[in-house]
Amino acid sequence: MLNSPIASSLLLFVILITAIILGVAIGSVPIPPRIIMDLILNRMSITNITIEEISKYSTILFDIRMPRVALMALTGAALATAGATYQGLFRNPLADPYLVGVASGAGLGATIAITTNLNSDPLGISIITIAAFAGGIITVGIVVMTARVSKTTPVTTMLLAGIAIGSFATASTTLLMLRRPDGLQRAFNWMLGAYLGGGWTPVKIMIPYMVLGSLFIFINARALNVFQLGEEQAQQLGINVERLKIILIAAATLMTASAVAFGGLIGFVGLIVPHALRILTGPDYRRLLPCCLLGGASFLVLSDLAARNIMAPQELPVGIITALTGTPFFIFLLRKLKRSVF
Amino acid sequence: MDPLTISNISVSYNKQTVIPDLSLSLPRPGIVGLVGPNGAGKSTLIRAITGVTPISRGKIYLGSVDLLKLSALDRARRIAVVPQHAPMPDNFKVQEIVMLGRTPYLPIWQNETANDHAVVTRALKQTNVYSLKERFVGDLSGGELQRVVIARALAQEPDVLLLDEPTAHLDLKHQASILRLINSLTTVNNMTVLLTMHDINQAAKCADTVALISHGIIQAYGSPTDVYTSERLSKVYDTQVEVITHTDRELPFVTIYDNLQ
Repeated sequence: MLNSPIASSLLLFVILITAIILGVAIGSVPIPPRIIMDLILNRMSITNITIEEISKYSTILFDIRMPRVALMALTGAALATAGATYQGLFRNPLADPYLVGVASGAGLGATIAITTNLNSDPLGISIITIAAFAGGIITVGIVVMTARVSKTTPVTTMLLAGIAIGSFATASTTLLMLRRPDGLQRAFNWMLGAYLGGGWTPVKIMIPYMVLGSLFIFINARALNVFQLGEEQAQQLGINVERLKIILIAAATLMTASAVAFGGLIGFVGLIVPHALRILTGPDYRRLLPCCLLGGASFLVLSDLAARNIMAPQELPVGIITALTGTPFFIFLLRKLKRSVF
Repeated sequence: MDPLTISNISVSYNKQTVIPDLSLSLPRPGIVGLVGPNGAGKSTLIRAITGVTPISRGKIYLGSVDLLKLSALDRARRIAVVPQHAPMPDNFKVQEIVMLGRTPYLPIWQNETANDHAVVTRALKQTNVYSLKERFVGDLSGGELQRVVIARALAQEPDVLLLDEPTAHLDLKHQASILRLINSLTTVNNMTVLLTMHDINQAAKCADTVALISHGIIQAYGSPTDVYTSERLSKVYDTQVEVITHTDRELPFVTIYDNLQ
């Protein structure tokens, strides 16, 4: 365990930078790091190198690789941070960002868009994305309202409502797919986290959700620590429990919904990254949450790198990679650890 | 000194009245033992004082301060609770748990100050768990854990400490040491202490004053000798009991009258 919060954040920051460099350098057309450097300096108008060899990489770097790596970093950061938040809020180590119905709702939204052959691209992004985002938010709204018992939202009721309404949405998704088998492949790919492109637009749309969501979560990090003593004790320590729950659920849900909308249903990141990092940083949410932001980003950038390259030219949905690599790593950590992580 | 005055409060759960009309005054410093049968309203009274359960009528004052008008944070600076069943995150260290007691004093964005650390150290030392401060709470014994929970409550620097069954599930040695600790709270910290207890003999030993509650009503209030009469206890507990007086300590000792064999 790294005791210094600065040391663990610094280590994760170095890992993230390395992951990003690898992510933009490696691909069907490898870009040497030296050229990446020149191109970035050129773009920032610090240098002005106009060699043919360099400019042919420009489009690949700035219009294809960079936005994709940035999107993956944001998605991973969102899922890991939301996952840690839900685990703390529900005091349940099995909680993940999809727990309260975001995933199944987003899945239903995306499937409706795919099977009804909606093909317009308002805002320059796929309608699938918009439908997924709306589906996720609407479903969580229904779950929270269902679980509300006279001004309070008991955690267990909320989990059960999430499971029930999530199952309903999943069943509806399956029904739609069976009725329109021509959309099956696309819907299936989206669900496993196939990259849909879109250049920098998804990144620009995601950033406000990320900034706002993490801001609300980070300022409540110490309250999340108090929450580990149970709701009643948190209340006796002066925490406004109901308000905190709503703020954190809203923040984590917005982050998750934007991640799911652009990245599809990428599993394991929100569950495994926070647990792996707890082993590194300890349980204090003030240390854990920033580490989740960095660690989640690195994990997804590296997973996406693998997804693009191991079966090239065929691209794998990144969800397959996160599950295949995340699970053995997690089992290794669990076996090595003597105490319970959570 | 500021006593805690509860006047004519009424508490209902799901339209069922648990406490119809209850008044009680707790001295400061002083220890009051709250005894009574299961479901008499002991835990409900504690929740009502802390504000976790809203009261439908009545007033609770600490000195001249109306507790019901205080914000949750302000109330948490005055009243601390040692609950009977509290979830404990195993992977937190003892000092991290005790530091959570400083929550009412810290704005959400601010980290702990040197003063917070000093208060936590004092609480750890008073409860005799300072040597365990780097240990994980998951590794502690029941007696050690109870001291840590009390330390966390002391870190709130409260005027009033409410303890719900503080000696439940502890062996005799640890019961004795927890009771000694509770006793020191009035002398060292000048606190008002209210504790609920199933074991009414232990309550008599620990508290100067006992309040006997049943059906949400205080049936008797006073010294254990005055409150514990076999007639009254038999009626309240709906069981024939016998009260013997300890010859050398002038304390009543209550035992079940029936010959169980």
